[in-house]
Amino acid sequence: MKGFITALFDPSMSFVRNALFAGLLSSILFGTLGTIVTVKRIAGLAGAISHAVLGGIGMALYLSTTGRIPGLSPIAGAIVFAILAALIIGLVSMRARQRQDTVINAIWAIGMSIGVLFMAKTPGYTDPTSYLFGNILIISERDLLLLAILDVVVIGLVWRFYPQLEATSFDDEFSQVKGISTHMVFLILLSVTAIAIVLLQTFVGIVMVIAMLTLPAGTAGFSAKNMLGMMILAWVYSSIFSFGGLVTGWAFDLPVGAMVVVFAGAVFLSFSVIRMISGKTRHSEGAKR
Amino acid sequence: MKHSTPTTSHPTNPIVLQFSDVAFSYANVPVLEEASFHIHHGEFVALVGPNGSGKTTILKLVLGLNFPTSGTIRLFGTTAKTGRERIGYVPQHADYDPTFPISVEEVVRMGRLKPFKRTYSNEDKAAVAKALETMELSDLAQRPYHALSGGQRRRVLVARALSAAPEMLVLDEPTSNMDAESEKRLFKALGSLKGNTTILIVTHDTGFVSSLTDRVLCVGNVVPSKIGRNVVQHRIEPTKEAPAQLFGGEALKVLHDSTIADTCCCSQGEDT
Repeated sequence: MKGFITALFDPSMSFVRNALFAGLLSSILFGTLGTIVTVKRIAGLAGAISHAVLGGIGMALYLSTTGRIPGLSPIAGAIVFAILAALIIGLVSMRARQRQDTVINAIWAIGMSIGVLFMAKTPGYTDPTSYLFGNILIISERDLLLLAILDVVVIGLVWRFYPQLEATSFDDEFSQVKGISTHMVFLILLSVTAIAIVLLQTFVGIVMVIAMLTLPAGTAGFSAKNMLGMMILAWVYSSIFSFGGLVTGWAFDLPVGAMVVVFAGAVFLSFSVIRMISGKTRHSEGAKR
Repeated sequence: MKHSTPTTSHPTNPIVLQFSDVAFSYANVPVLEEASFHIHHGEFVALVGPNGSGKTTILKLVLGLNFPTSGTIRLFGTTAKTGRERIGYVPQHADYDPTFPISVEEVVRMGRLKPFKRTYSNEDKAAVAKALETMELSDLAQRPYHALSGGQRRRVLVARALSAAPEMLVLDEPTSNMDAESEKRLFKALGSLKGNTTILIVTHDTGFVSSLTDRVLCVGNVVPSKIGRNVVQHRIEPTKEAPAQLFGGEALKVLHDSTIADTCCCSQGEDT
């Protein structure tokens, strides 16, 4: 801990401060979007989008390295693939729900395969694991700015449309009868989630971003009284997990993304066990009465 | 099958809902064919039929969530999609997520929701309080929705619909899995609305309906030489055969062998 604090204030180690800011800025997205993804039960959709992103990263790396589109950044390719995946999954979910599972799994697998194929054909060595598991210590100031902008956009949207978000998450059909364009809300939500996933995967990686979209929100769900409370609590939990992961990752020379997810998972499982035991106790006490 | 004169108690009131030769298919499977019926303002109508007969399909057509493949639907003199804003809808909400964090009051408040409205006014708050009181739920307003019994939850959904002060209440199987006490309270509340608010209640109990019912529409008769079903009106009569606690009071027996023609109760076309 002391070593981390020293590094945090060391002028020559700005990457540590960037990592901390990235963790805190990401936590806002993990808290807000994670809550919506969790209560709407669309974590599988978000998982497919996050994995499809690898296809865009691989394609962008290939196109820029081979000189076909010089300077094309991996993040641009990732955003294109994420939005495409979100739109395909969204349209299939709305129009052919019975095919939803198949399409989600297909996009999940095809996206990753495309990424691996392009990386294999990209001149020089490209390590897919750096994208799969992320590296918060290489976060740039530009990444931080993009994260901050997305935070503002997401908080603004949630603030403006909270009643509609709450209603569509709770009862889609009723909201539709009340005149809310639930399909539009769903597509916008998927698109924003897709863009967030692209930025967040630099922090914890493609594989683990879905864990951070669900675990802090799931943990918050044990005690939150409403959706807004769940968002705030999930943001707090996510910040704690990010900070804890950074400190322990730094102290024991371990991958930070993996440490963050291990913390989040351990706390979520502990809460689940406590809830299960207290639920059983209450049930048996009730039976005795 | 006997034909008899209509029993409607509001034949002079304007028509609020009219189905004219409506057909609907899921992909290539016909569900409804030549379905014609109408409901007057202030009537309490039960839409009955066995599971899978097409009752929910009719509700979705009324609410503008599905569209007929042929025929016309007029709701308050306009299309279903436009007219539905005057409806209070009480869905079955069978796929409800028990981990969703929300209080009873917040659920009822959704009834006052508008597509672009961000905040709730004092008028909205008063309407929510009144709806909670009507459904005898004021004491439970701050309770988590998931902590209620199935019957209480259903009453919350009725309160949510009532909070918008609808001209017509549409209830999809409101008494399924409901305890006797909740059912009694539900019918008491519906009884207090009867006459001022048009009520369309859907139930799979084809034998008996609540004594509040003015007319019974039955989904289930297969149209001769076709696959889809249509809607017919049946006569009803008081009975002691049904347990009163299941219908919030005395029940009425549905006489399936006695059909009333849709066109004979009023001169149609007087939409509001």
